[in-house]
Amino acid sequence: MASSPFPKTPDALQSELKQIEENSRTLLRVSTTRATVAQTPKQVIWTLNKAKLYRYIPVVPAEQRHKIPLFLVFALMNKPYILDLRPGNSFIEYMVNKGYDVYLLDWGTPGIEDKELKFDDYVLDYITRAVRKVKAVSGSDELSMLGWCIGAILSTIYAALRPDDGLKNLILLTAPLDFSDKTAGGFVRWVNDQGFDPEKIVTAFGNVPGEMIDYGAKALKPVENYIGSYLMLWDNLDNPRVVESWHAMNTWVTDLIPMTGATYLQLIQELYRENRLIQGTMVIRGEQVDLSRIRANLLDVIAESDHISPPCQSESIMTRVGSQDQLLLKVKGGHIGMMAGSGALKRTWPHIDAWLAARSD
Amino acid sequence: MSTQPDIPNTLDPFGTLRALRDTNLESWSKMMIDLVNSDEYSQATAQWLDTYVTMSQPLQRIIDMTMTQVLTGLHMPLRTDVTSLAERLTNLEIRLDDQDAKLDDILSALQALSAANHAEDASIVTPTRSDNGARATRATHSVSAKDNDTGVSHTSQTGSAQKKAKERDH
Repeated sequence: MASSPFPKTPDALQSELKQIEENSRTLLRVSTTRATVAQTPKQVIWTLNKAKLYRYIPVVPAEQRHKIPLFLVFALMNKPYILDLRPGNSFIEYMVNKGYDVYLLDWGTPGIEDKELKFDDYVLDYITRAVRKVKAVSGSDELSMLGWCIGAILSTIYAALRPDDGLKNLILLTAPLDFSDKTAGGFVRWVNDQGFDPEKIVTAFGNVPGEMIDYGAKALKPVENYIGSYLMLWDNLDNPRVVESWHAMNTWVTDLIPMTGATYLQLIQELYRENRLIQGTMVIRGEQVDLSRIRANLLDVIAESDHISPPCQSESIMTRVGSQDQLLLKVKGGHIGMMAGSGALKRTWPHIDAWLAARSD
Repeated sequence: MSTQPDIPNTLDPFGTLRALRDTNLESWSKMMIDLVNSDEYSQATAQWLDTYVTMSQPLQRIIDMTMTQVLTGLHMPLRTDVTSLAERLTNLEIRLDDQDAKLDDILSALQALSAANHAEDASIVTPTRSDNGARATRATHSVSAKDNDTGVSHTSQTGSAQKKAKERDH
């Protein structure tokens, strides 16, 4: 006999309605307010234009700390606090507790006056200077660099152009570097369509709006991003841990920043379409980016379910670099979940720490 | 529990969607992923974007022209003036950062020189451990005092230090 979907008694009905009202209130709160994020104590030690370099206050005594500082470079079109989302779910907090001297380069939000900024400027004007500051403040001639997504592109270019600048360890996370497979992932397909004209977009907008990039990322998995995420939240509204985690992640996901027009053009034209970086034909301010010049110890971390940078885009770098010490690490998870999801603490961070700790003293 | 898990609660606004998801999510998701990865979707998106941009540009041009006329009439700076100023400020920041880097180099060279002098002194007179520390402190102070003798700001000291460094190079 089929049972009724309606509550059987007035009390049950009232209780059900109360629960729905409470859930609706929680849903409204977490989807319309900002969570408190990026709480690991830090100080600004350098600025240039909108960029800021943070040093996280060490918690481990100097004599027990790793000698080589860790410098983090995040992507250009999202805020870098995904690396420090909230206490207990923060890669930065984790690494600081593990005894690293951690620095983070925050690119800031580009204005229309920055529309001409491109990879050349980010690498040679910003990263090189930030590296100098990291070395000066830490007192170390060497450093480790971790680049994530487009931050990994920038880190790779830097490592190839300045191999003698003290870069000892290079960690690439979900790095979109090889675009030879023109069917791998939605982005590659969309931007290689003949009707897609990036110059027209840049001419119209100056900088590419964050909303447009966000739409592209979400459209790769529309059901999960536009429906599944909210249903998962609704199912767990009585679980504060899930709710607060969702709130923090939603704060980050909706905190969009534009990408400078010139960088966008370079990304689409020179990388996605012409695959210049991996082919060794990319030129940055007159210098050819030769990946074989990279000698830093290399850890390449790939997310198995990455739909934004499919694994094939990150794997081939291993055969192009000159690094003797290299490791390809595949972990479960997606592009962001791999580092900021609930499983990162067990599946990803300990591996990065173990690899880096052995090379940081 | 008021309802069985497989029967959607009709009072729950998400109940129907959830039931739909539980039964069809995987195939639904796969279908949508296949759709957005198709050539047809790529063409449609490119076409839509192109139309949007093409249609918005004439309007944008009119707005730009109007704003230029209005702001010029009011003797107010244009957007291009402000962005140009911002670019100049960034260039200044870059030059300051270059000076900062040079200053760091000079300071570390001075410290190295001071340490070398100190080591030379130590090799002439074998000090006790406490004497060694005291001399090191004096040496540091003497460098600071020398700079302070100029009685000018920090920037001028940098200029002075750079001048000395240049003279040394020559």
